[in-house]
Amino acid sequence: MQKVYREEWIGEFRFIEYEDYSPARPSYMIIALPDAGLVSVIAASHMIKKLGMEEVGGVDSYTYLPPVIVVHKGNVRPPVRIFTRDNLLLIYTEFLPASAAIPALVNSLLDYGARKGIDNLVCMTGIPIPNRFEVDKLRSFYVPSNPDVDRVARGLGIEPFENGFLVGPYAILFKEALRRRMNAVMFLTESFMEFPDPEASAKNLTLLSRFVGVEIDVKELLEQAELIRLRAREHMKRVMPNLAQMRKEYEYAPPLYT
Amino acid sequence: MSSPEDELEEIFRRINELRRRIESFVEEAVRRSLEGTRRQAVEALRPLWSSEGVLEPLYSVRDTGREYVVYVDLPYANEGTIDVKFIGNEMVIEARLKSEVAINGWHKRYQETKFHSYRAVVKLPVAPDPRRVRIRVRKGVIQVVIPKD
Repeated sequence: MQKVYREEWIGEFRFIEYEDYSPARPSYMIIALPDAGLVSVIAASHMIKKLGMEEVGGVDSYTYLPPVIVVHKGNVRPPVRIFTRDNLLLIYTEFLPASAAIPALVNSLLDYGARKGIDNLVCMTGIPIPNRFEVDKLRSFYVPSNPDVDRVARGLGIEPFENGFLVGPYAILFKEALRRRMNAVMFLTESFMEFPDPEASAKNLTLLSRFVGVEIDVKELLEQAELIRLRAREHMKRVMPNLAQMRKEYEYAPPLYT
Repeated sequence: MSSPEDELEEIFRRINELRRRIESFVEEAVRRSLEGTRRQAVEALRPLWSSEGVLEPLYSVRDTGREYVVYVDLPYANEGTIDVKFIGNEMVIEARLKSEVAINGWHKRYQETKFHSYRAVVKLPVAPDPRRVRIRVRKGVIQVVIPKD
């Protein structure tokens, strides 16, 4: 049984820490939630392994999260897990709560980040394109929360996401980050909507790596891409009804006013 | 000339007939709705693999106006073994994996299960003419284009 060092309720969510920790500065909080092509979750899972990130806590709620425990190497974990290494704090979950619960979860996560002295928020997800089947060279974009972040992200050699819709958990997360005037960036890489897309995850990880200044090797992720896709099928199937409920298909539509 | 009693009886007969039809309609609608809910629940709870070693791939069907396009994700499939058949308005896709994949590498609970192939039966909105269907495979995803006319 995992030892609990500290427990705190933020809103309807119980934050559990297994040990005392605080990320080094400048700190980055990365939030990985299931979304198009499971791009963020696949990337985060690889990052945990590659960087040897330590699991230091978790988040649970009987009201807003599914009735799930995750058993990892014999240890019982809540459905939302917290990992850290140096100045990185990673929030990771393979379970997407119902859309009505996402604002509450997002607010609690950002409150927790503020208490941990987080300086920057990084979101990385997929932006579905209908012709993904044909595309070999995936394009990436970014959305900055302020001009300072814009300057740094522009230096990565990718374009800003200038027109379009973003729907789903990251839309809520980013809106809330803006409202709080946080330094935040969202990396968006072209991906499948309905199939797991490790190639897009690798592209996002390369951008994250340069943005936070930590080397994350994606060679193994690309080599194992087919087996990861095979393994992620069940998760993708479970996530699709939630994405449909949020009207994720709006992301395919060009806006009328540009 | 019918008597007032006969007319009244006729009215009641019609009312009873109408009530019987409404009841029958409501019963049928409720039965269909419950059946739909039951099917959805069964579908949601069904795993995408069987203990016989067959995986069910993810797929999607898009209506592009002039064509239906089916995408099937077949990661780690041996592309030379992909077989697509059409039976009425069903498309049956089968493929062997490049090598057997064991879930025991992932989880001890499934230690006996080894997977060797994919199989899916996709219900199509039309019964296609197999001679006009175009099939392409790229990076383990299969695209099946079915003209509508």
